[in-house]
Amino acid sequence: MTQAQEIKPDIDLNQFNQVFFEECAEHLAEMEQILLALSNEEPDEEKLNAIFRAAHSIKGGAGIFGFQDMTVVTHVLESLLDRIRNHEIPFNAAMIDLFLEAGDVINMQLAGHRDDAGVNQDAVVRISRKLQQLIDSSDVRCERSDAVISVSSPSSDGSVPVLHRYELVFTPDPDIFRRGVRIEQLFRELQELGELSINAGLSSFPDLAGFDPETCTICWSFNLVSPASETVIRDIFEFVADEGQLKIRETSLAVANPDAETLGEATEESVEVSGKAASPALMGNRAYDRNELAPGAYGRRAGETESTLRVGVNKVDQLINQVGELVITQLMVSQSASALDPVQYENLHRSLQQLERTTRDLQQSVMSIRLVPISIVFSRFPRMVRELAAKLGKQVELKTVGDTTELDKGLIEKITDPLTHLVRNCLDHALEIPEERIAAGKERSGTITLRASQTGGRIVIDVIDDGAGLNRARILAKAAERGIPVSDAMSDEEVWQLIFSPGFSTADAVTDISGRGVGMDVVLRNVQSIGGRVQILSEPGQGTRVTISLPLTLAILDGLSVAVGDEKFIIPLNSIIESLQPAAGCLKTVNGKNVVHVRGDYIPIIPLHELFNLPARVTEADKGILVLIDVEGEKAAVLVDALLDEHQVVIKSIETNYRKVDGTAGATILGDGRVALILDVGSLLLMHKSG
Amino acid sequence: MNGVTSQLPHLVEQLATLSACGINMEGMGDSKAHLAELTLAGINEFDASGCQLLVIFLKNLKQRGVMPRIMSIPDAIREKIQFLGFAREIGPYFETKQGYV
Repeated sequence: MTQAQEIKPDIDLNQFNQVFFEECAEHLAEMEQILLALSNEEPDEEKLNAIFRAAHSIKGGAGIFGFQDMTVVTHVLESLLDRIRNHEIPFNAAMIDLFLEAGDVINMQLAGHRDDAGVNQDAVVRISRKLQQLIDSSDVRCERSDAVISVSSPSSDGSVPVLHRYELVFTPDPDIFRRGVRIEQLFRELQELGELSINAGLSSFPDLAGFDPETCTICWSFNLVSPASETVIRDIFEFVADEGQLKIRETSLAVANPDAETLGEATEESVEVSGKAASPALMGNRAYDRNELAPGAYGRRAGETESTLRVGVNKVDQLINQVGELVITQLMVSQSASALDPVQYENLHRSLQQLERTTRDLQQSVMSIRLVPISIVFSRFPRMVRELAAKLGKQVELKTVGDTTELDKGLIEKITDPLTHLVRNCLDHALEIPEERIAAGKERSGTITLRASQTGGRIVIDVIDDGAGLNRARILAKAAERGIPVSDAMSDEEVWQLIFSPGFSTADAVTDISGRGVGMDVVLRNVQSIGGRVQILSEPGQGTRVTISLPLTLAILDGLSVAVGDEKFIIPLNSIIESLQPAAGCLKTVNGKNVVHVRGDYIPIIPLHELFNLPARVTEADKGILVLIDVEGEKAAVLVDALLDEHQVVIKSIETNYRKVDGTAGATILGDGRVALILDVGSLLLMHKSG
Repeated sequence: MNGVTSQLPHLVEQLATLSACGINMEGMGDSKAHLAELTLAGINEFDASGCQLLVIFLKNLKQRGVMPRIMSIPDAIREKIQFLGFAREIGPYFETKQGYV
């Protein structure tokens, strides 16, 4: 008989928890975004509704999923917001910081459940108390706040709460057990409102044979004496009772008598609670949800709920992988069919062409599912900039451009930390305090611009500040101190690259923001790990621009297949400038290295067969083909036997299936079923340089 | 399905068989055969779904002429049954020192 609904070992609750975690994080982000946009101004009704809705949804979700600790702060926050939007408590700018702090605490609790991170209970108590104090400090007596007043205690203004007597009938959905709804918690919340008696009965009497114990046939009736309004009661049932499943009747007139025992003697006059609540169309809904649910309400698009579907990333990845396999299979079929007579098998060839087009379209469509706007990353910075700027005594304006630029979800996750480092550096080191800016003839307020765009098959993200710019002399001095070989003849570009050295920092003081020299090398490493590049441009007194360039996706790549001996390699198309067959006269040797002379430039030659230790048909550059590549503005010529074909290849991790191979960014399966390594031109150049 | 829920259909089947036994016991002339003792000793968890199943089982037994009696009910389970509002449906079958409540 131990049939514990709450334990439910046959259902993986984690998958549902995950949905809650994601939604909660989204609500918190939305709340923060709106709060930051307020800029100390009083929010309009729509914005207040949106903040309220976010807090309310978090509380509801936390209750349903059994994270009761998360309902504590959200409950008080919700109560306060409700009173503000009802103009019972005036809004003031200090509340923005308080709400942001509350959001942080909820976020911390979320992380506690999601990542087993530590939760500072003192912070929870502190913020709950602060929020409650704001409610308590209000002189306005408000019935809505009854939910936080115990039955017997008088309200803060000394008046006695108005008590109501309700009869509730709750006929839940037959699948309420299956949904894992915590009925006990529901009843406990109801119990907290006042005196409660509960009675359960079966709405039907099923025979045991064939009975499904997870089908609910129970109908509960409650008697509740409470100062709470009907809205507060409906609020508790909001996520479990649909229209008509919860009926509430106020069975006696409200009394303002502190002697609760007189309640039983109250007039047994049956009164419908109110005109609006009596409306059958609104049964089970919160009164104030009506406008919020309207299409076009703040942050809500018409038909949004119907037009989106939340799908696990694993499922999407599985789909992408399967489509990748389909593309490879299609290539194999096409390759096999290419041997067939095009006239005799004209229809087959035409169909195969159509298949190829459709497969490519399918692949593009599937890939686009993983694309998410970079605003997901950008949206975290306004808060950070606001707080750090205040801490540093600086005035900073953050601008974001190209928020809708889409990039792969995997890239988003990996780019967040590097961007955070860069923005913190801008705040701490680059931007000057207002006095210094004025002395330098600049505006008091500095600007940080985050700009994203899609350029030439890559995603380019710029972090631009109008601060003091990098100090060349100081960087050189620090580098020399650290034993890094430097010279005054180094170009600016080479000097700026020094700040990517591990542990490099020119900051005089180590702050809790930056200056420990553990930033830029991590930035570079993280960006390079996803096939990206980092470039720096800086002008003394004018500012600095750090440009991160990333591949569009981590799953497919346009490449040129080349042959070296019996092996085939893929060179990413976006790094290829041109290919040429050099005349013997263009080939030189400089410092023991072979170079090719192309239009005035001496370009180093990278013989692939040497790097990968392969028996090649061509070992002399003038007998083979040179593929000119561009790596961060640096050119190189890759020597190959022959150019084969242009492909869009599906990238497979070689590390997962084999081991890391230097000079490669992965592998792919070609149409003939063979594996070809995809060259990482950046590391290829480094390998060549290091000899 | 696995765990507790996977065992539920089997449990329901067994309860159905058990309650159907009441029919066979009827008319046997043995008044003791009309009593069924059900022990809840060792039960740690009980929820609304469990309460519902118990109520249906008890009603099925009663309909077949068997008077059920619930024995060794842990305090926590008794409180849970009351809290969930099933006191009226299940309470009459609780064993007490004085008999049934």
